[in-house]
Amino acid sequence: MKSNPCKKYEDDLTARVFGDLSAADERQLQTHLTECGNCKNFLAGMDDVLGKLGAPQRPEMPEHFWEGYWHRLAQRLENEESTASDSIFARLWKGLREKWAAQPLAIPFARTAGVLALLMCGVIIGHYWWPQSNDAGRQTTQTIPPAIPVAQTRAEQWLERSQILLIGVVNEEVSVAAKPDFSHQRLVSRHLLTEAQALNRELDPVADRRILQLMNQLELVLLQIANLEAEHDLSAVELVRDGIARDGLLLKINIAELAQHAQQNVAPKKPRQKSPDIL
Amino acid sequence: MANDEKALIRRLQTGEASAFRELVENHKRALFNLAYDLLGNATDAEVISQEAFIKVYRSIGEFRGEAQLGSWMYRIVVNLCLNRRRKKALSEMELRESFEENELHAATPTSDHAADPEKATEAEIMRRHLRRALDRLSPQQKTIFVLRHDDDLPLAEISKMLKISEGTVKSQLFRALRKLQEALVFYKADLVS
Repeated sequence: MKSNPCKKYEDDLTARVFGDLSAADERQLQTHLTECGNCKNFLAGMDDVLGKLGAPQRPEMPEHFWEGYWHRLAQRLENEESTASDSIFARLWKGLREKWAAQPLAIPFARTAGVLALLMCGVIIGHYWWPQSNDAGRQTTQTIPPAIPVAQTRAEQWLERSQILLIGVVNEEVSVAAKPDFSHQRLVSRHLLTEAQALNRELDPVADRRILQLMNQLELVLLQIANLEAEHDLSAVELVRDGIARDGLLLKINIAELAQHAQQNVAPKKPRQKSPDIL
Repeated sequence: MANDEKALIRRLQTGEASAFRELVENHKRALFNLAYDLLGNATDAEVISQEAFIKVYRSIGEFRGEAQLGSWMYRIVVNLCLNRRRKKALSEMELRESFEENELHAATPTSDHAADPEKATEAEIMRRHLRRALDRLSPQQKTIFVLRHDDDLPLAEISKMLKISEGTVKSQLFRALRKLQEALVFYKADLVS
């Protein structure tokens, strides 16, 4: 297309491709098209491109993905909110330090005041709480269970989904007559493998060791499922099933036990001491 | 703006938790799909769509209702996707996109050619080639093309969303179309040679 004479029709051509052209502009463009082969070819070429490109291909996420969406979002929001509240104190502290830095005399005064305030708090708490604290201490030796990190929750969901997929593959009727179609299982396996890449990076190699080991084993089987022929791949299906049975994978996925193990590996937090008023 | 939407916004602005859940349930698929169209993989699409909801949750107080709630949320997703594309290491992005692309195309037979597997494969290869060409467009061009072609948004809406003039949207879209057409021509020439 020659740039100069056709330049002013570029917007119209684009609008025409997507059906956005007004009737008046359409008439003008038609007149131009009768005498310009390049623009005519451009339009024909674009029909070809859009025809071949087709509609957008989006993954059909399984229903449990959508069911768990809100839960995952709420959890993320909660985590971010708690981090944000921490950073508010950090910002406040920084602001105060900057303010003090601008007034050098204020620093020793603030330090002294801080130390005195701490001493006072200690005396008050000790006075009211000391006689009860031994009993209370005995009663509250149990540590507060640490919050399960988001990656662990996602890993548990991942394991659960893998388990469902594996059960499906194991129970699918496979025979030449049954003509099984594994396209859905292949798609799900590939999604799980993609998610596993991210989880492998996020999980803690020490605390989540057992989950990671199991995930690695499962990834091999998922890779086999992802590479199945869409239909009639009977021998490969048998191979996958043998692998699942040999490694006892379905028995190994015990979500509750893994979660408990992961919790044990996270350093326990000390219980917060409650104020006398609460006690 | 519909009355239902106005009521929902009011409830959100008063901090009603059930209103936020309602918003998420109503829009989660649309935001996820848009992020998927722009980023090409499901994991990132979930992260981005959730980030968008969190942004909405935090800034709903500033929403004055000048645009539709849906358009506003779309705009947030588009901006988050553009930022993510800028920040993310290119190599990692390409690796994951190509993996995701293979998975999708391998799993989705083209129904038009269902009767002729050879033609179906040919069409599929051509489509992959064009989708790859789409990924090579500039982030802005790809975003505009995806919003117009895949999400069927009007040019005026895209212009508002990206805060650029409608003229720029049109010229960027034209360039995107030209590049896609060139990609197809080169591909066909390669086949012949």
